[in-house]
Amino acid sequence: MADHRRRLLIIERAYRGALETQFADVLYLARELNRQQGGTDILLRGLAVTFAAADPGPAPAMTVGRRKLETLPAPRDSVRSLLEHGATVWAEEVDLAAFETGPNWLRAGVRRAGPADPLPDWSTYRGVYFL
Amino acid sequence: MDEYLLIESQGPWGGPGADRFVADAVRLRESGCPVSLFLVENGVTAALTGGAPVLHDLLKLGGQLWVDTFSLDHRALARERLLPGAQLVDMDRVAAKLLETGVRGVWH
Amino acid sequence: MGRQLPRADVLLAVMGGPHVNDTVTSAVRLAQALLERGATVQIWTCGHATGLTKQSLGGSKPRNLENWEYDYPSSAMLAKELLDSFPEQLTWYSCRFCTEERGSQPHIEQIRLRPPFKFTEHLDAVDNALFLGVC
Repeated sequence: MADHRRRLLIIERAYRGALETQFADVLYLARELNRQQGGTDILLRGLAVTFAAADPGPAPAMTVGRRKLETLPAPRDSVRSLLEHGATVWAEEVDLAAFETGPNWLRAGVRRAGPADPLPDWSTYRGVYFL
Repeated sequence: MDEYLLIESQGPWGGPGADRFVADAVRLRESGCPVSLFLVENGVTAALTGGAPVLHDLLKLGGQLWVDTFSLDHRALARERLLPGAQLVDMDRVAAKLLETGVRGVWH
Repeated sequence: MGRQLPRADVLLAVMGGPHVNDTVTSAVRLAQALLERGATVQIWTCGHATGLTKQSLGGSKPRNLENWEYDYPSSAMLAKELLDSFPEQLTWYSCRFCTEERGSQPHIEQIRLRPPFKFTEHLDAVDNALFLGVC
């Protein structure tokens, strides 16, 4: 019988090479999987919860020689896009405590995981993958 | 006496090594060396309130705590959560310090 | 007697691999800041960092499915950009052993290959040496 359950992607290692990665960061893969799989769940933990901040902040850019490089990863835009394309995004509450500054810090639509809202139940997923 | 520019790039999320490195900074300061500790990349999280308690020791001893503005902004970390005494700097400030005579740079 | 290495202000030895954390980003940011201040800088890559300047990367990253027409520069292109912008101040070396071991050859033209036992000469030729990341 076909397994129609969604897949759970867990992202905990954040900020892996702005200059060399540019658009092709872990959330790029997550967006593609979300699109191809017809929807995925993404759990952000550790420093990766900062991907779900509501305020994107200034667009990241740096100067290399005489070139202004403006294509560095923009994870908060990526999370917004994931939500728009039907992904369910969670951020672990215990890690949010290290970064939040108030009730509006987290992007609307991102779910808090544990303790009030339970962590995703692995048994309800077709597979669990640390990206 | 040598002056030190110590650069911490991983912070608490990278494991226990970051605290040990800050403890190195404290020891150098206790020995009388001027010390500037520059937090960059994920290392900036150490300077958030609740981040790395050993930083308080460094500040109490008169060490300088520098936090990379670029890294902080790229990680959407709020400036209001920085430890009192932390100074936001850009890479030009770091370059200037590294080029000063008598300054020894160490990257962790 | 061999040719003596010219002195430089700073050596940035990039030991950590790309795509793991922001080591490479920081190395380039710091190099840029030093060079803009008129400093002389040597960059040395080891381990997987030697792959940053592989000729096979070409000038552009593979296409972005979400922005098909946009040209994103490869790390090799960005290294070339830095070298072209500061030709009198910046020299970029790559460890021969790591280059061969990690399959990073050939490099783009401006990269100078050096055997690992010559690394000590680079340490002696600068006022400050930073080791960024670990192999």
